This record gives sequence, C-alpha cells and structure tokens, in this order.
Amino acid sequence: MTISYTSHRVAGYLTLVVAGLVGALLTGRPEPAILAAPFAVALAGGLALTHRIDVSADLEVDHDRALEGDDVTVAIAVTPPDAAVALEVSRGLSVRQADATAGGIVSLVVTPTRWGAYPVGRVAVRALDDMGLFWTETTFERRAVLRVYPSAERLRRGVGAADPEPLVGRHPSRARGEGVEFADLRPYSPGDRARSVNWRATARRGEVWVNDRHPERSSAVVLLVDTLDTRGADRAGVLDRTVRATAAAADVYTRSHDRVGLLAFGGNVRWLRPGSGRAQLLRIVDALLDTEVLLTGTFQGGTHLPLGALPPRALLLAITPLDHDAVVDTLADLRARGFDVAALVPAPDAGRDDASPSRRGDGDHGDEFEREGARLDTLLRDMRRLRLERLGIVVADTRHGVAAGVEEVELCRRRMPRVRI
Amino acid sequence: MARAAPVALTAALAAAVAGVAVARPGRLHVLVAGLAVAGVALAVTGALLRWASLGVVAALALGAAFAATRYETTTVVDVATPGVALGLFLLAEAVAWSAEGGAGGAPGLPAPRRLVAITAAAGAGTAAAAMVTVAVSLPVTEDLAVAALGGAAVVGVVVVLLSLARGRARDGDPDVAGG
Repeated sequence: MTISYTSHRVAGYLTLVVAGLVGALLTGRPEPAILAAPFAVALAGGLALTHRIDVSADLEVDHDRALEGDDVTVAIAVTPPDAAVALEVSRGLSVRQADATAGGIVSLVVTPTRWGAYPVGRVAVRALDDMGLFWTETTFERRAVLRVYPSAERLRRGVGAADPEPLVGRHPSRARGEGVEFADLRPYSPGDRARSVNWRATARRGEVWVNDRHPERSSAVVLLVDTLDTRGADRAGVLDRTVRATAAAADVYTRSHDRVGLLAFGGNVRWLRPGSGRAQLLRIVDALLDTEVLLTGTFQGGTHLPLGALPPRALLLAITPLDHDAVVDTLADLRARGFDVAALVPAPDAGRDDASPSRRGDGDHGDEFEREGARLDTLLRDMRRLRLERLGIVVADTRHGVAAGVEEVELCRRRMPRVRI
Repeated sequence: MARAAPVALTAALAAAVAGVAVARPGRLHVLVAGLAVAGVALAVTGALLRWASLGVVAALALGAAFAATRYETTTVVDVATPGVALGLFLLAEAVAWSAEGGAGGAPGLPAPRRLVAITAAAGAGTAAAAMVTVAVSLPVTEDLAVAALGGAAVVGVVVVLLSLARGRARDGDPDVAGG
C-alpha cells in the first residue's frame, strides 16, 4: 500500500506566489512579483522535475528460529538508499538497534521477549522527492515468520512409563531380565548366565542363587496439552506455563531417547505421532507455538481425539490446569481404556505474589465476587484432581518447578499399587 | 545542536530582511517596522515550535514590509529586491527545515540532497528575480498594452503551476493525502 503526501510548503509557496503577483498588479509595483519569483521557480521546478517515487524494500531475516532473548538480525535493502525505514513488529518482539549502512541496507536487531510465532516483514518505507516537496509511504509485506522457542526448564528425568515398550532404552522397567539395576535374588534355573550368579548369596545358602535385574527399556510418551480457554485473569500465564512445562518434558524425553508425541486439544486437536530425536523435539515445540493461535474454549470432548493412534503402552502425560470437566472426562476415559495416565498442573511459582483476587484486600462488592469466584474455581479444580486420583491418575502441580512436579508424580507412582483395568 | 542551527539561521535571515526593510526611508515607516517585527517574531516562533506554516506567513509579512517601503516611490526598481527575495526564500526553507522530524511533520531530506536542492532553487529563483528586475527597469512607456501583458504573465504563471501540480497528481498514486 502506498500513500503519497504533499508538503505544507507546496500550498505555502503557492500562496506566496499568488500574493506577490496579485500584489504587484494591485499596487502597480514590480517588487511583490520579484519577491515571489524564487518561490515560483522552486515550486515549478519541484513540480516539473519530480516524478513518481519508486520505492522498494527487500527483507532478509538471518534466522527463522530463535530462543527467547536471542538477537535476530533483519536486513532491509531499500530503494532509494536514503529512504527512512520502519519495521513494524508484534508485541513480544522488540527492535532495539538500527544501523544504516552504505548501499541502502538497513540492519535492525530484533529481540524476542516471549515465545511464539511472529510474523516479521511489515516494512514501512518513506521516501522523498528531490526537492522535498512530496513524499510517499509504502508498506511492504514479506511473509517471514520468526518462531521463538520458550526457554524451558531443563529436567534431569521425566515421568517413567509404568509399562515400557520392549525396546532397549534408558528407563529400568518393572519387568525382570537382563539389565543394570538390581531387582531381586532367585534360585538358579537352567539357562541363567554365569555372570548372574550372586556368589555371596550362593555361599550363604548352600545353593546357587542368581541376581535378577530390571531391563532398560524405552518409553513412548504422549504429552496431552490442554490449551482450552482458561477462566480468570491469568489466561496468558496459564498458557505460558503449560507451554514451558510441555517443552521441558519433550526435551527430557527426547534426550532420554524415548519416543514422544503430542496431542494438544484446544479448539482444534493437534496430533503429532510419537517420534524420537531432536527433529521430533522441534516438531513438538513448533506445534506448541501454534497453540496460542488456537486458544479457544470449544473443546468437543474426547470423541474427536485420535485414540486409535495412541500407542497402547504409552505414558499419557497430561499438562492441564484442570479448568474444564471435559478434560477430566477425557483423561478418565483414557484411563478406563487402560492407558497409563499422569497429570501435571501448571501452577504459578510458589514465591510469586499472584494478582488473583483472593489475595487482594479490597473490600468492595466487585472484588468480593471475584474472590468468591476464585475460591469456587479452586474448589472445582481440587474436586477434579481428587476425581483423577481416585482413578489412579497421579496429579502434581508445578508451583515449585516442573522438575519438582515430575519428581512428585514419579514418587507417587512408585508408591502406588499398579492398577490394571 | 540539530535544532539550534535552523532556529539560528531563521533568526539571522529574518533579522537581515527586516533590517533591509526598516533601513529604507519612507512615510510608512511605522507600518514597515510593525510588519518587520511581526515577521521576525513569526519566523522565530515557527522555527522554535516546528510550525512550518508560520515561515510562509513570516515571509509574507517581511515581503510586505519591504514592498511597503517602495509603495510611495516612483523611482525605478530597487536593485536589492532580488537579494531580499533570496532571503525570504531561504527564510521559508529554514523554518521548514526546523519543522522536519517533529510530530506529524514532513520527513527530512539528507543534508547533501538538501544543500543541492536549496542551492539550485535559490540560484534559479534569484536569477529569475534578477531578470524580472532588469525587465521592469527597461524604459518602456506604461500603457494599457503593458498592463495587459503583465496581467497575462500573472495568469500564465498560475496556469503553469496549476497544470504542473495536476500532472504531478496524475503521476502519483490516486490516494494522495495532505501531509
């Protein structure tokens, strides 16, 4: 889009020229006309010599992916070279430096302050004609997208699957066989390897005993991410914590050579088949960046989820604020189908002075209603959590960090008797 | 410093033109002095407040002050008139320069381009003023034909400027806005 502007000088000089000429006619003296002559010449020259101002801009972003806080350089080649350039950026990006270099290339440093997928490429170029009497502002759209990944907490381990897949991995399974971690002692049976013999126990009991070990297996983990619209003032905060917790979990599972998938259910269901490796981690985080766009409260229930595609022995790790009964119904349904389900509730940090109404001391009725509403929400969340726990789904929150939440889930699952449905 | 230069230039040019006008003898010296003071005040105010339109009004006031000194004379054209015209043009440009970069103001030309543009316009404008001065100084008997020729010249200048402006509008995009 191009908008052309005319300088105030054009109208002003035209006024002076007309005033001088008319004044000369009225007074019969040539001086007013002579005084107006430079203005007439400048105006005539500006109008005659100025042609259409051709403006162009070509934008190049040095990275299309970045972490929060990283610097991304945007180079804009602009014509004419001395045109003024402004890069319009979304909230969450800041342009903190601008260096004009020779050759009409303007370099801007864009710093993302929050994760997300940001369009970068709306450039406004303002160029003047030779006399400075006219100028144009042209806006160029370049469809570049900068994907900013969240700087997630680095976990030491993830929640282990109750029933890992029969593939060699890094998680000790509950089964017994060849492995590293000691499980139990048992009498020797034909076929046991000599290296399994526990000589101390054998000497004490007078017969051959062997060590049983837990074999290391890999897990298939599907991260169930609840991006349904959240009630209350902290909607953005809830989504932010959800995405960060999911990214941290995806990171630790891919580092452990587990297969990780993603099932994000907001308004649309986003399904990523379990896979492993860094490419899968990038796919998951890319999908998470898009969840913000799809944030909505129109979840149609578990019937629209690709349940048939879920690996039967996969751990389904739900990351949900427990704000919706539909989500709890879905998790209960998955549990009833025999899936191994656990849940993490992204909660504000324990030390954070939350701005929720329940912590404010204002006394008017509006705040009182808000406080009561917040209390009711908390009560409902507790009820949903209790319902899940009764079904054998361990739920932990992340108020002390995602790592602490994961440890709590892991600990509770070890103590919990295995429930077979 | 960037703000001080155009303001100082504006004040100097306005004072110079006003000084030329006030120094001329005449019965209308009160009017001349009033117009000159008003012109200087308007020019400096326009430069300080980044109000380019005040520069045009100041040029009008100072030009009127100079013209008023010549109103009652019957002698030939003052040879200082092209110089005053140049001063008024530079004054208007200086006020416009000071207004650049302000909120809603016009964008600024880079210094080299500005220098070339102003030098070219000032040179051509002063030459045109000098030519008019020479032309009106020629011993031509004043009669109806000369007056008609002057009127036709005035109309001709206005028509040329308007036709150029219309041509400029056609060259550009249709969504032309005032700036």
